[in-house]
Amino acid sequence: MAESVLVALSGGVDSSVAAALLVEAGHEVVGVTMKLHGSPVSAGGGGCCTVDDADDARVVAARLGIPYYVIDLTAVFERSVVEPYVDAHREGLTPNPCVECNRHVKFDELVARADMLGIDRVATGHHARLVDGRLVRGADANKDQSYVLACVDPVLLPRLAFPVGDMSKHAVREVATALGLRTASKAESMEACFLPEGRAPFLATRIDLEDGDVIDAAGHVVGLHGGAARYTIGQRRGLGLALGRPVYVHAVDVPTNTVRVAPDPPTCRGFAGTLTVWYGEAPTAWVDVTVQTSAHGRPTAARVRHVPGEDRAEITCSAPVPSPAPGQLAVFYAGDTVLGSAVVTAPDSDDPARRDLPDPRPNR
Amino acid sequence: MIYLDHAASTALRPEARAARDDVLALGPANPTGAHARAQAVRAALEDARESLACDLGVAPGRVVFTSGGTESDNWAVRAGAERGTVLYSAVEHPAVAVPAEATGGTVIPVDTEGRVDVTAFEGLVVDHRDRIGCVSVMAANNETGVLQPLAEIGEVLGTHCPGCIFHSDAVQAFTKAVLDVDAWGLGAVSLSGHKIGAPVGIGALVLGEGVELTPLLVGGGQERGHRAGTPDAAGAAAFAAAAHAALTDDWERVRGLRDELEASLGAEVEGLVVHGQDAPRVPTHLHVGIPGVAADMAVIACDMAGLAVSSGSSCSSGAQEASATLAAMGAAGDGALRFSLGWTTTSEDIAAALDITVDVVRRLRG
Repeated sequence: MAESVLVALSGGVDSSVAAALLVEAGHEVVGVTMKLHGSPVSAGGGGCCTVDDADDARVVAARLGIPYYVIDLTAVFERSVVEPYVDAHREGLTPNPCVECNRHVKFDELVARADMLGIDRVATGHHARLVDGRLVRGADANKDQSYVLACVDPVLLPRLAFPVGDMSKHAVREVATALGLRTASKAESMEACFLPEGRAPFLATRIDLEDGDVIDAAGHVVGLHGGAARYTIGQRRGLGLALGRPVYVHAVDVPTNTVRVAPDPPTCRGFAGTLTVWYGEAPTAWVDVTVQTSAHGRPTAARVRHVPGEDRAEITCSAPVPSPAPGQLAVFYAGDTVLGSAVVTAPDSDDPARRDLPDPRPNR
Repeated sequence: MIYLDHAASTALRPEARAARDDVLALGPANPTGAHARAQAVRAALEDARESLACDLGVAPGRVVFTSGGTESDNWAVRAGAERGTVLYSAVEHPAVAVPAEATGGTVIPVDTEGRVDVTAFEGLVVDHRDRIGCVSVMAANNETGVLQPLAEIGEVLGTHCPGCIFHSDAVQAFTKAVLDVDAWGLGAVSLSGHKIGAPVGIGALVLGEGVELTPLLVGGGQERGHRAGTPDAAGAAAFAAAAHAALTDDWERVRGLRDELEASLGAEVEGLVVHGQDAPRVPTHLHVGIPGVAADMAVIACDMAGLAVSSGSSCSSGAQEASATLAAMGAAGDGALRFSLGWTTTSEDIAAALDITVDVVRRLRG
């Protein structure tokens, strides 16, 4: 049945093809680009980072013959994504801003605006599927984006569509090429949209990053780091140490500006999470799942339960797993189906409910 | 589509199109050339200059053709800044405000209608008297259409600061409101073609008697050394023809339509605020605030229903941004929508625009 669909056009190939497929299927499609960051013209000068992407999206919309608009979400994005992102780094966490954007901004805003315009459904170019109302991994395992979507408010799922979720990236590019869309061969965006230069240079504009000590397992100072807030649990690259062997970050302590390293990657057999989202009943008894704790991380077998009466998930693993970085999203899957998610809490959280958990820092 | 965004760019006038085509039909020629065809194109350019000058009541040599309002504004402000501090009103278009701010200029505050308070302005001028190089106050605001008291401002400057350049961005006011360059003591006036029915890409800076400004564009010495670059003779012809036609338009008819839309919206939309309602305005602008409505969504919903309007100013990505003019007026800025009428607007347009807007507001308010 033909519906009206608001499709979020990022200026990339996936959302371009998502819109094209919806048009082809006979839906009444309206394209919209969300301007999430970049200074407004009125702030003087007119720096507007999304101009090129918006122009790509605009040309695609014109080619498809659909109405197209740009909406300014810079204020809510700054408030709900960028500021919490910076604050989390001040606490030594490693947040995923795309997750938080999907949780707080993108889908809420799109659905609210679709409602205002009397539009039935919202579509994006994410590689994920909706099967019988459940969020499922995208068909192209290398491009699957179910991880970053696993925090979207469950009540919104019935309003969403991911038209390219059952296609391979290759197939998406083929469709774009066949339709003559200018985004057909556009490169993938690798970084979060407001971090074109990467994380550290951005953080340096918002946080006073000062050099501090890197300390090894024996407590010896083995080097200098450029600001503890820049580092992530489990990080190996970019430490700038010449120790003759690889070392891994085991702890980041922002108040003392120290980074602890050790020769082996940090592992744990359990951790906890908060800001829980469940698609379906919250499992108060332990259930077998696979858990993924970073956007491109490897899923591992685990058991999870939701602590009754609390916003808290506990995860145990049968064998040691690489310690997830606090602030990252832990996503729970049954096969390819997303069951829910929780944000990994810091292991030194003095929450009494942790008592029955295995030591999350066995290597320390 | 019902087009009520004439303040952004209005419909091309047939007189302008014909004048442009007549010049283009002369064939390829650079008006600075020595051969017969170049002379013909040059003659068309000078005819256009004379026509526009005559309509403005100034000598032809004081009309310098530019690429449009932004170039004219930039030129006047930058050249004015060479003489001293730039004073500019808090509601200036970015084409004035951005270069003025860059020179460290001083903002002239406005009242709740967005008008310069002449008494306060006089105090400001007296305080800065020895340092002022240029004063820039627009004739009519691009958003609200509110007219500034240019005659009174000119009088203050004539008394306290006769040597400074009095510049006015008259892009929105030209042909729709009185503009008396010499009586008001204006030293530079910015005009734009596509706001009055000529194509985009032509404008003018009209200079005061005896005023010399350092050129913004230098090179070949065209436009009597005021502005280098091959003059757009076809554009100038279109501009002059559009100006002449626009000056004889029945703007009271348009004012009647605007007032009708204003009254009907006021009756149908609860809480409607008309920005600058009590101030003199150009007959074409209606800028309203609709509490409880997201302006960007109202623009989108109106467009989807076939009505083209605007809100605030557009960012280069196309997103609608909050209004700097309303902020300067101390107005809330909620649901700010600009309806701008033009020479082609009909009463049927107004009736349809009213229906669509009322429907959109009802929907967005839920």
